[in-house]
Amino acid sequence: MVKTCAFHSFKGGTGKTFLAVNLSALHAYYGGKVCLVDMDFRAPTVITAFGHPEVKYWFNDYLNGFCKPEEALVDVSKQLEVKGTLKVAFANPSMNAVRDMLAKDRKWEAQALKRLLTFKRYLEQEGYDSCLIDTSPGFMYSSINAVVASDLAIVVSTMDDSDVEGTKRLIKDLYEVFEKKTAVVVNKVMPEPASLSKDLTYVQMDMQKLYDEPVIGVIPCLCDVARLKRSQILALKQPNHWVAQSVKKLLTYLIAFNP
Amino acid sequence: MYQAEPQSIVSTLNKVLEKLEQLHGMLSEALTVERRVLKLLSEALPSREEKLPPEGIDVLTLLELPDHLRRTVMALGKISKATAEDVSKVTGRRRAVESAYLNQLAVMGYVKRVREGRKVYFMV
Repeated sequence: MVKTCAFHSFKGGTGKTFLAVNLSALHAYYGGKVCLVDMDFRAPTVITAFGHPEVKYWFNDYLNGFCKPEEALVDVSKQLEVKGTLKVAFANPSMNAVRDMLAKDRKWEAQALKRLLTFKRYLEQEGYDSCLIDTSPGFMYSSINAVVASDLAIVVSTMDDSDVEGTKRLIKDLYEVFEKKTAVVVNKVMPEPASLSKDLTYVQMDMQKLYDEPVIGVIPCLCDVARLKRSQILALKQPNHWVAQSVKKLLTYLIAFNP
Repeated sequence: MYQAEPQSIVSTLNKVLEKLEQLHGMLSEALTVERRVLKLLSEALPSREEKLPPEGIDVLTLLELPDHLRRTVMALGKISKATAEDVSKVTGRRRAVESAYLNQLAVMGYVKRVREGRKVYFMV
């Protein structure tokens, strides 16, 4: 059964795309058949992580009914040299496409939800292990569609008070209403480098007190990650890095997760 | 003992046959009229399936639905085309309950209802 997981957040810049890209690449590295979908139609950046490959049909085209599910997928497995399969459905980054997606009405969004569920059934038939969806932050129509179509919502937050407050609101007003299984990842945590492991454990315990849902990961904010180019997938390039190890823990959770 | 003459029996039977033929003619005419009425009605009133909007349901409408109906739609979304029994297996509620909710959603125009033989299927 394909495990569909939406990466969502209340505020922007929390690291959803970074986590979705690294997690999907790592899963494929360990032999999984994985699909990554970019549904951040406001600011599509997944394509940057894969070095702008040639795309015949965008995921926008699929949702508009212009192509079949398989035509919207780009195989990046060879490029990443992974044991399994990673196919990506890219969002169109052109200004016209962004404008077009922002102007969609309620009727179109209803049709898009139907097509998203059909896409999920296609992945199921093709024997995919997981489907990770990167979304826009906040209460965006496309993001709610992604959450509704998913089995698990991973909400990525920072330790910022406003972000914590917004994340709680997302969980209460959205995930709970749709009865979604939810997990929280706290990103960009700034611990003391000398006691990184110990500090992260304390942070995870502290953050868990704030949320009813499980806090499944605490990822440190380290300067060398910020210095990395988007096109370098950390989990594959530096597997022993602290952040890569945190991504590996998330993958363990995802593999054990039972929808 | 009374014994009817063969000629009077034939004449009575002929009268009965005549009446039966008249009755058959009237019934055939009534049947034709009924078929015409049904045809006119079906043309004037589209079926429930045809009345449905093709776009289905959007997430904001889902958010506005009462909890019990939302759960039914979410379960139906997971399994695509399904009977009330299939949906009841996902929600854990009784088949009759899901049947009532699905029919309610079909009347509201949020799910599509299709009869195939003896079974009724629902689709988002």
